[in-house]
Amino acid sequence: MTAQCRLLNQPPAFGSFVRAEWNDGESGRRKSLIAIVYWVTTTAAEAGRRPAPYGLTLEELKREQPQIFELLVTEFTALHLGTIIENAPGYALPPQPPPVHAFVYSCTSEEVRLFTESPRFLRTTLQSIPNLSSEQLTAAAIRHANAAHAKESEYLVKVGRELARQLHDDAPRLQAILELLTGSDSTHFGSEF
Amino acid sequence: MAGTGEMRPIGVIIGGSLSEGLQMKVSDQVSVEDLRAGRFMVVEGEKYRFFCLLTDVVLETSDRRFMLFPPATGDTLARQVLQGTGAYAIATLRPTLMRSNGAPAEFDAGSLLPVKTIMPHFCAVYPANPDDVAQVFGKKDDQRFYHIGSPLEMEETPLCLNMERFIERSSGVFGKSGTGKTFLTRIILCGLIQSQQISSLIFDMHNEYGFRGTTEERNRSGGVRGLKQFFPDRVKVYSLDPESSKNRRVTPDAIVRIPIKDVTVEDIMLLAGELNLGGTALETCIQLENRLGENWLADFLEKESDDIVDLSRQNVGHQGALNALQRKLRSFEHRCSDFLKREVAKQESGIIEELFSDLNHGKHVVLEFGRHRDPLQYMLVANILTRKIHERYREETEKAMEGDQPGPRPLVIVIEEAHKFLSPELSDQTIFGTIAREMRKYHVTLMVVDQRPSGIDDEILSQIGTRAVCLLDDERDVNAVLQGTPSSSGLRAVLAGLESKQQALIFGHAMPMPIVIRSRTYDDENFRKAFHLEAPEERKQRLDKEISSDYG
Repeated sequence: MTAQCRLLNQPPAFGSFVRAEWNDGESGRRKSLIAIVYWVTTTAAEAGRRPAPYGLTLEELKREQPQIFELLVTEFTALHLGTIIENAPGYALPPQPPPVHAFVYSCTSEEVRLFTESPRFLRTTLQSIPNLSSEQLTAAAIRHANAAHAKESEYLVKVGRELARQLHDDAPRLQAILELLTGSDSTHFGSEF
Repeated sequence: MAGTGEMRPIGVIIGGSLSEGLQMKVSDQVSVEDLRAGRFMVVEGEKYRFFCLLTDVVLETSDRRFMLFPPATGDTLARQVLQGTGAYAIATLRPTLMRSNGAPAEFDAGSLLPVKTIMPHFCAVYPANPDDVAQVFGKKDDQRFYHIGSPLEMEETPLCLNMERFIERSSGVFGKSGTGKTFLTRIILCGLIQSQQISSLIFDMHNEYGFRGTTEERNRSGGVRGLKQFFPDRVKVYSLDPESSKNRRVTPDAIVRIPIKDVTVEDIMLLAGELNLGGTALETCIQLENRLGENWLADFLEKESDDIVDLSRQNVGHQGALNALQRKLRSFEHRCSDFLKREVAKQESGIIEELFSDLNHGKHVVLEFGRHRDPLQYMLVANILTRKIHERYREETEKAMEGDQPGPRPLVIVIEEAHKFLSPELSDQTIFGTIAREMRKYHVTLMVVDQRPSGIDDEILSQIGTRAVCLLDDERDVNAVLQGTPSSSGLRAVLAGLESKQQALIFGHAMPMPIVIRSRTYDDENFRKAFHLEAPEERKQRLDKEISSDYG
């Protein structure tokens, strides 16, 4: 799903979990979809136009050409992972996507914890998406999930073992992800995770 | 199944065959370091419980690239993540017996079936529980069974030896020196004595069985109790060296003296290596025996040089050869002069009858060699006495067969350094070879204790029913003890994994399946209690109490 951010240049983090919510028109039931952010872009709000470079810094632009920011929007695309229905995570995709204009929220830490309790969410993040490193996406997803499981010391190992099962025949990919989770890469983003 | 409910499986069967053994993927919850070769395992099949022995463990990876680019030493996450997933262990199990799930819980030899099939994929594997051990090996409170030790990793579970079956065939205790052969033999002998079904004659080369044995444990300076102390009424100690007994302040029940006329050419042949005698010398001995009769050795030793010339004229042998032979035999007589006598006092001459009577009355006789530990002396005495006893047993058995009566009480003869008697060159000539071959026909079997089984004739080894093998290093020795056993390649790995003390692989006639045991500790408190023997302190306390109650 693709969603437009409320504020320019303030998208949810790469690999973070988001939730779309809407009311089903027929049954009237509240529906939700959990997805993971993998693509963020800021473009002209109007189709066909392209932002052109002015050769000025962001601060200078804000001072001299404030109107141009009104012409830009930030959008993100998220990969559908599953649902949380009545506090129970599900990993099957819903029959319909969220309707246009449905609201998309960042998942709360509690929601992330609930949804990532089972490492099954990794099966979707490992699939290949054009122009995207699924290893990066998976590692980012695990980082977010691990932050929500901060109280469980063994969480990373549990998830890692599921990864090792999924990637049993692809040692380099597994190792690439594990490397992103340990060492300097894991602390690079500071308190964000 | 009894007892396994609370146990976690240590793996699942993922493949394998009847001939090559089963492949078990080790559970990621289990450390591969806990899986020792020789461990007793159970696979829960759909219809049968399969009793198996762990014979090998292999490290595998799901992707070869894990091996090419292993995680860094400090990378604990990668190690934890890969353990049991991308990098895992496969254990090979050798199924040895199976038992129907519906069989009653008690020990029943009939319910143990040879393995003729294997279980389907993904059956769970558990470490054996005490009930499994009792179902396969019997319970220690059953008279037929004797608690000999415990299976590996199951220190509290008694593992029993079926004594009835054990005494049906000859047996062997093997292992390089210092691995606990003697201790294990003592433990088995205690079982034999306790079972009251058989007598034993123990040729005790190093004075270790009768009164007080030695131990390599440093904190037990006094040594360990001998069989006589455990069973004062049932064990008799004969001595070849009363002087040594006196020094050790023990009183033997009888002194053994051997009349020189009992030495036959066969004995000399046995000692040919020790005496450095060639084939011609032995032929000369036969000539001498033919010419001089029963007392040939004494007669020949007394011959003066003129007599030798006479003998050579009578074509007994070349004069020089006769002289050399006489010199060697004189030196032999000298080496054995303490017990080998031209004249034997009357009270000492009936030693064979006394020995036979003791044995036939269920006594266990330990023959101590005292200071006469020279292999030559040991071999000579063991061979002569065994031959004589065997003759008596044969007579009695034949007599009993004619009269349709039960024969003499079965006897087991315990010899150390057995390879010296049973080497391929000698086994045809010595009485021990004969006994090993003719099996129980005359109610006499052997228990050989040896550190060099490769030196024993193959044919004799194949007649050894139950084998207890402590650690052996030499490839040839390992081959020799495993010869003729099915699945010897698996057992080889098990044997190589034995610890150097108190562990033995036992297999053969008396054991339903091969098993590694940790033997009981001989002469510790539990052992003494099992044989109703009080520790000195306890005895003192009891006596003090009795005295104070009588006089206090």
